[in-house]
Amino acid sequence: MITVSPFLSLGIFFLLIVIMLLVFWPNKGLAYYYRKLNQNSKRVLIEDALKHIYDYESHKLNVTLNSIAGNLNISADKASKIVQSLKKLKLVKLNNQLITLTEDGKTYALRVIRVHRLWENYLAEETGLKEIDWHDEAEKVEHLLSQEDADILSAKMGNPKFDPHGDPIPANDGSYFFNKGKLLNNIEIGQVVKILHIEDEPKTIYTQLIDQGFYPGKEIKIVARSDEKITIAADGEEIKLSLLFASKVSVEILLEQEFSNEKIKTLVDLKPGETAKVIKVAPICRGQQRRRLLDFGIVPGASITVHMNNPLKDPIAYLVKDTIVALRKNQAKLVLIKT
Amino acid sequence: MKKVNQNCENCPVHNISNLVKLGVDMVGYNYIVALAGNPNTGKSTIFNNLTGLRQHTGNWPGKTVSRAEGGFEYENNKYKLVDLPGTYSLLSTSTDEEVARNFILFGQPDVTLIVVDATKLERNLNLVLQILEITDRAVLSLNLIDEAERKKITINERELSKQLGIPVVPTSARSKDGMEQLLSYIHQVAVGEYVCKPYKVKGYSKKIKNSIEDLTEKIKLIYPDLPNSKWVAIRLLEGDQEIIDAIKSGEIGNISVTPNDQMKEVI
Amino acid sequence: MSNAELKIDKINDLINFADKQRWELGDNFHDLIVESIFTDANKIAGKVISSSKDPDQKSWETTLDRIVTSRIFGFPIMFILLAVVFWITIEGANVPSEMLASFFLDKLHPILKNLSASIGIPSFIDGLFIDGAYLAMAWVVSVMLPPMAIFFPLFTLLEDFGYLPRVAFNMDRLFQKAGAHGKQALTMSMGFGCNAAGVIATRVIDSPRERLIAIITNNFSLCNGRWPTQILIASIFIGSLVPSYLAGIVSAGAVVFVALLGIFLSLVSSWTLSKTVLKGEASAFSLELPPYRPPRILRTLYTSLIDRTIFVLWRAIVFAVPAGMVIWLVSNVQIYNLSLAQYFIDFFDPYALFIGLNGIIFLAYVIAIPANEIVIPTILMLTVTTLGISGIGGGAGVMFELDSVKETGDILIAGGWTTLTGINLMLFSLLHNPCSTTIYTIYKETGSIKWTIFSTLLPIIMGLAVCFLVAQFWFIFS
Repeated sequence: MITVSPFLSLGIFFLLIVIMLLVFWPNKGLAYYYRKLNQNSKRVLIEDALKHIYDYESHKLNVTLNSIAGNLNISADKASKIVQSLKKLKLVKLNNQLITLTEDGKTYALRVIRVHRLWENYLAEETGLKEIDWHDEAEKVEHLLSQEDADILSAKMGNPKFDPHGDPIPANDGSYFFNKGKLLNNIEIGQVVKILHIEDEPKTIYTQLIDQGFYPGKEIKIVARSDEKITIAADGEEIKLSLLFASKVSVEILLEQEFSNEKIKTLVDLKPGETAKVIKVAPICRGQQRRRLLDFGIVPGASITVHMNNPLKDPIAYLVKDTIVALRKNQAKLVLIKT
Repeated sequence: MKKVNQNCENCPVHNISNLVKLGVDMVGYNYIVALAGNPNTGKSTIFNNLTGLRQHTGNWPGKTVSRAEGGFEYENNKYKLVDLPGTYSLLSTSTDEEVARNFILFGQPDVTLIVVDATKLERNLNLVLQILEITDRAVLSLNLIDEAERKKITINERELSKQLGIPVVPTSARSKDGMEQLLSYIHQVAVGEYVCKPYKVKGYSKKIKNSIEDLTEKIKLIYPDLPNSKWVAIRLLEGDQEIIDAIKSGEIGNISVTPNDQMKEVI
Repeated sequence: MSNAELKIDKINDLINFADKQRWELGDNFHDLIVESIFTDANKIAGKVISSSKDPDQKSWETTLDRIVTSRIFGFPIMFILLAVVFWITIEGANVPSEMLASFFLDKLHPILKNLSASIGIPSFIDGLFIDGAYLAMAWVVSVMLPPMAIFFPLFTLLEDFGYLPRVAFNMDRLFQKAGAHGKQALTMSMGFGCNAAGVIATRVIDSPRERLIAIITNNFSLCNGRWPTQILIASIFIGSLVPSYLAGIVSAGAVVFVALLGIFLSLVSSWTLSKTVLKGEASAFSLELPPYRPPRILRTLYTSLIDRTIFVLWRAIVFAVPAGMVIWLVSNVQIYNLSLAQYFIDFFDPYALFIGLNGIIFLAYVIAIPANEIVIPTILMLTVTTLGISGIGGGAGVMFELDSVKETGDILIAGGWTTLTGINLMLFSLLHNPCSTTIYTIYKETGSIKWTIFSTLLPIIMGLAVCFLVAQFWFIFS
């Protein structure tokens, strides 16, 4: 038998565990940073720079070396090297200090954007990942997936046209069509609008908007506004937004729309034995999850009854179209009803 | 249920002895029958009844995992029975639904036998209406009719048949009731004695109706013989790659209007 | 332009038109289609369905549903039913198991040996095929067949009746917290019968990620093949620690503790997996509760025997035959007067002792991979041959078991086993690689070598770590 003091061996064991945790801890471990470091390879930097230039151009902002360095979080020196490579590849044109995309550069940028949005769509539709994580995951994958892979992925998902934030997904030739809508900060009092798109950068603002229950497809009414704030009503609640936050939300004005600001009930509000009519499944419920609910017959107008609770109070069993279906509370919350 | 049996026995077509269960032997078949339906409706039990095979059945939605095939002989015709995965719908991108959808569309079965749960007819009709958008030749097995009776649910099967435009047979696969009539209708539809006039969905909401109609017109210009151009239009609007490819390759033009082409080839 | 070109032009035009329409329709086209179809379905249903049911009168199904999911009775009913199923399995399997064993092992084996001796088959061939392949196969059949033939039909009856989905419904919250699906409660219970069957049963979980979790963690359910090992070792090593009137209850408690530890680890690993490696896998929850249906007993017997019992048993036999040969070979092939087994044991003994096991246990777990049932017979055989005890067992490479717990204990203690070895064997029996049948089944079900290897290594690593920890603390406190 190996003769080592048990204290020593235990010490070594726990040390190993701690080291393993330090290395492999998701999103904080050394392995993560190592991968991230490697990600700053030339290809990644070039693609990120193209995306940034495209983004600024579409917002009619001027792209400079400084804006690239700032956005990609690299030194000005490195940024200038990247721009030189981009120029060599005929992806950008330099005009004094201004950097603009060539046609090729634009197509390349759109391809990267396509992969990014397709992947966000995949994460939203098929996986249980939270919306906060979609963007970061897609940032990694956009540089890894080939165009062929993207085409296959797109075909498998039924060639989606919009990503979960409401952004259009370009076709594989880079073409797309976009109903830009208006920014929420420009909307007059009294108008009813539907959210088309929520900007997912910067993340801090996006996170707060999501937490406040904003999602593409939601219908809201503007009830008050001042120079700093805009007050909107939705689902029986009033939410105050700073104009900066509101400028991250694009909306479409709904003309003939009756808007009721009653507190909208969801399935979780229903008590055992009670029956209600389904208004709709909230647009935030997407992909697989949404199709399951639709398959169960949970469609607008369907009648639904609480069949029974379970000992742990979650999930709850509902009777819909003569079938008993168990829904977890986080699903039931997404089914809007009226009693 | 008992009433149905009595009627059957008086009816000259009734002759279960005509059924020869062929198990996995499917050599030289004359007709292909696709077996479709929601999960947990007794689809596999019907499959077992007709072919004499023993697929696992159970009181769980989604027990049948792989596609099963078997054969049977009836009235001197050999049939190949293909058990499709049980699905609630044919509209989404899941593998099961793709398999079922593509088989009914491109496999061109001579008859699609749709099994529904009589106790949950409304929900099951969702799938039935979708299948009837794709194919013109279908027979409906109104299964678990004994359970429906026990739950005091009465279904006017004549009216249902009139509404859907296809034969409807109340069955109870567990006790093998209604199998004779089912076979007789499969036979009639397969040889063209019974011509179905399937129900087509009418209630598409205003918002999408125009798009569907415009696209259907365009498809008809290119493929005038396509029997299910509206369904193809809907699939195009859903972005179904399989359909886009089939249109590009012209494969979609091979889908025929006239039944029994395959039979003529065989004979 | 030719006709063909014209047609291609038209087709491209069509596809582009469809594409443009899709941008304009926005992304709720699918919803609207489904809605339209359901509207029509609703109309047709309204025309043909009439119900003479009194809406206020509750059906017996509803009443039964209320009872089996009630706060007071829900869990007790579940535990009692499962306990009854296990009790019937264990009690009912004893007699047929013994009958099969006495036929295959005590009667047929000597007859075969005599037969081969009388027609002059070389002892090498005779040993390899009769002591090795035949014995392993016979062992697997006699210990696996009866419990499976009882457990699976019982379980299938509950399933056919419609009770099991209610169990999934009751338990879902617990599994939801662990990032898993309520139906995992059923695949786990199935795993207590047989892990391979449990892995197959995960087919009822229709969400890819949750299904993978259920497959990977199924091995933490202490299967039927490991219960006897647990009970035997607990009565030898744990029961002896307390006065004899408490021995029974304490050793039973130890076995239950190990089984509960398995459930606990299963939930913990489910949680960890769902938060780390499986974070991005596809996932969606749905659980439909089918109506109660009277089970068809004969059909159930038939299908559960064919689909589950024979299916799993066949896979086990396929692996048992070659493994039996290996068991015989490693104990009989000698290099410089030492058997292969001896080399292996000598090499691994120091490491194994360091984590509170021994080289024989290591070797036994490697070569008895086809079934957990033959681990103890292999250990006994190896211990006896290594110690050179004569008069017990059938010689090198011939697995055996003893009727007397005490004699078994004596052999093990002579082989250097201590209470620590006993405790760690019980833990290692819970936490080691799945048997080859299960590994093969995992591969068949996942279709992925990666996940198969992962599911195999995860419990071994955990088992080695747990044994190591227990051993070190044991050394400190003793």
